[in-house]
Amino acid sequence: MIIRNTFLRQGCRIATIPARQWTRCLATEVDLESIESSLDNSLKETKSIESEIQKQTDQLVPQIDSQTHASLNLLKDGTAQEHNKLQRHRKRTNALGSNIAPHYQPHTLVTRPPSPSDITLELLLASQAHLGHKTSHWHPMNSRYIFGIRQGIHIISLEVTAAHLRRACRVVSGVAERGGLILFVGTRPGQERCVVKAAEMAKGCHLFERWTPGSITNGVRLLGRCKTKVVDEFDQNVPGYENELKDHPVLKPDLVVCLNPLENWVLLHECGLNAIPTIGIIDTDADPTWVTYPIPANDDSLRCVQVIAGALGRAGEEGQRNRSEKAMAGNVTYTPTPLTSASKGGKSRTGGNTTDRYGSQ
Amino acid sequence: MILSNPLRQQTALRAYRPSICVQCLYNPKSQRRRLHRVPQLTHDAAFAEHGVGRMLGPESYITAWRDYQSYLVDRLNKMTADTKDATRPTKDILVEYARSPTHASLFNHASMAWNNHSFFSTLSPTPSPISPSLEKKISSSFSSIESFRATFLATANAMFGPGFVWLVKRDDYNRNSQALPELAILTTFIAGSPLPRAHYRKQEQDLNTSLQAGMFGPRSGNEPMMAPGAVMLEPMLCVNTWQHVWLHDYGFGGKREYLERWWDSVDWDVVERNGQFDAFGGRRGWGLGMATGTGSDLGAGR
Repeated sequence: MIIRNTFLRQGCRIATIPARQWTRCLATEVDLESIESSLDNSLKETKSIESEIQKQTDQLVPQIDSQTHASLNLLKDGTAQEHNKLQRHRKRTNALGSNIAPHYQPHTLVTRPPSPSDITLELLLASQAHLGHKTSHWHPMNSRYIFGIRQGIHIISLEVTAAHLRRACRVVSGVAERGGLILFVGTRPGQERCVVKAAEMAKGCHLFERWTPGSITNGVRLLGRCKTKVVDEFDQNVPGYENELKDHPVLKPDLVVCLNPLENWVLLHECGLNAIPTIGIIDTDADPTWVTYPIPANDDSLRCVQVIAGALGRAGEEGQRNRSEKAMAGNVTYTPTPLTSASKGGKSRTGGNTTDRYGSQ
Repeated sequence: MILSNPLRQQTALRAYRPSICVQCLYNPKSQRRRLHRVPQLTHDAAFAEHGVGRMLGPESYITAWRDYQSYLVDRLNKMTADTKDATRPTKDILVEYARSPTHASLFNHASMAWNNHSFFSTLSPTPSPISPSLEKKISSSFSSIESFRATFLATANAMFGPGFVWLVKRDDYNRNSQALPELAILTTFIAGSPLPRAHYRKQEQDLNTSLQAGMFGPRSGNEPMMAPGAVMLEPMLCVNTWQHVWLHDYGFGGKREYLERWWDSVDWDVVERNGQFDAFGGRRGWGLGMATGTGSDLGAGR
């Protein structure tokens, strides 16, 4: 769709450019060879001046490439070597004096997230995953996940958390391995980085601002202008399907991971209507039936959310890696989508009946 | 799954008054984290068993390294507990507090830990000789290996009082002008640091002999002209002239002999690697790196 729209827009723009007006013509003939030789001369002069300056000053003058007249590659003018030298100096001198014991560094949860095999009860405890809400605010269906009460709050059983998180990781890696589109959603402040990182690793989509209601049920209207592309099993673009894509229904995620289900109940409801499985972090006050695979944990602690999002992202990364390896070996792990106007079970963008447009409800 | 029984709920209504100090309950001394630890030397086991060549016996080595470094690291832990420096590398701590009189003790212990580790990292039970490339560098700066050795040991011997003597490589060395040689000898007294960013506390002079009126302060001419860290050098080698290292084996009069035996235990391959002679550079200096604030160090540059 967007292809058509951009063409129209560009076409209008082209129409508004005024035609060039030739106001004067060249009076004398120009000798092209003399221009080239004069250019060569000026280049030689520049180079000789350069070498003079290099000898005299401490500042390194970047050399100029004779073809493009741009400064040379940073790998050749010494910048990379200087940087490497600095890095080696830092590595040596920072290690002198004392060894620092392993300790919590908040940024590493986003830059180097834990993998599913790193999930331990100690990690979950340190990330405050066991802290539930006030006992009077609980959802009784969560009683199966609660270990006990302390200081007026429910304590979530960490063994249960670990087991559910591992199961969710298995689901994510399975979906990724089969070429599914995973949507990571986390709309609370501070969750942006971990949501984006998880989506990057799983090669899926992310959302950290408000979910627009109807993006799945009314996708034909809300997401109709979004670009769709065709890729092969190596994730390379396959051109030539523009006509088929015009009628192709709007994409829906194959799995949704929601880090704060309480705020995103509309999204979860839409997923339920469209048979999209969901994974969600279920606190003691949340309804576990809202999601397909609940992870009983503390959704109010950013550290806990980052650990869980990181683990799920890593699981997605592993699934994608498996899919690529199998594709290299000639084994395509999914059934390719048929690209015809009469695609089954989809909603047509250009007309069709109401069942096609709005789904059966 | 809820494990609270009715009896517990009734008792929970009563006010909770601990009989012991709550701080002690949750943070007893035995449970405090010691985030700084003594680093592991490559040849620690060999040194502890046989001593360091002919330089130090096993007991002296254990005193000078294991005991002293543990003491320094322990003090460092105590001073940095529950602060942002608790997990920072020693070098970052010493550089930050080099100019702060209120944190003099923290600087001293961090700097001493850094210097002591530097000293022991260049020693080896099977030291490698000076390679031809290193010999060339030393000869170009000091006219010959023998004169370098003589100057170095004489400098160390002449220092009255504890300190370190360093072999440093200038990073602003200009190959073409050769106004100043590439390698130099630097002395640091007591717990002074050779690191450029800490050069407010380089302590290059012995205050017993060189103190004069007008020597310190912004108009003395001894204040660094450039911003901290702009005069860059790479410490390559050092000798520890603190008495606790050599007193047990040599007595008060044995400093010269200790220095000569130290020379024979130096692993010159490590020294050459520390100098980073293989990398091109130095003409540019580190001014650019500083301005753009590269890297993981808090603050800028090195």
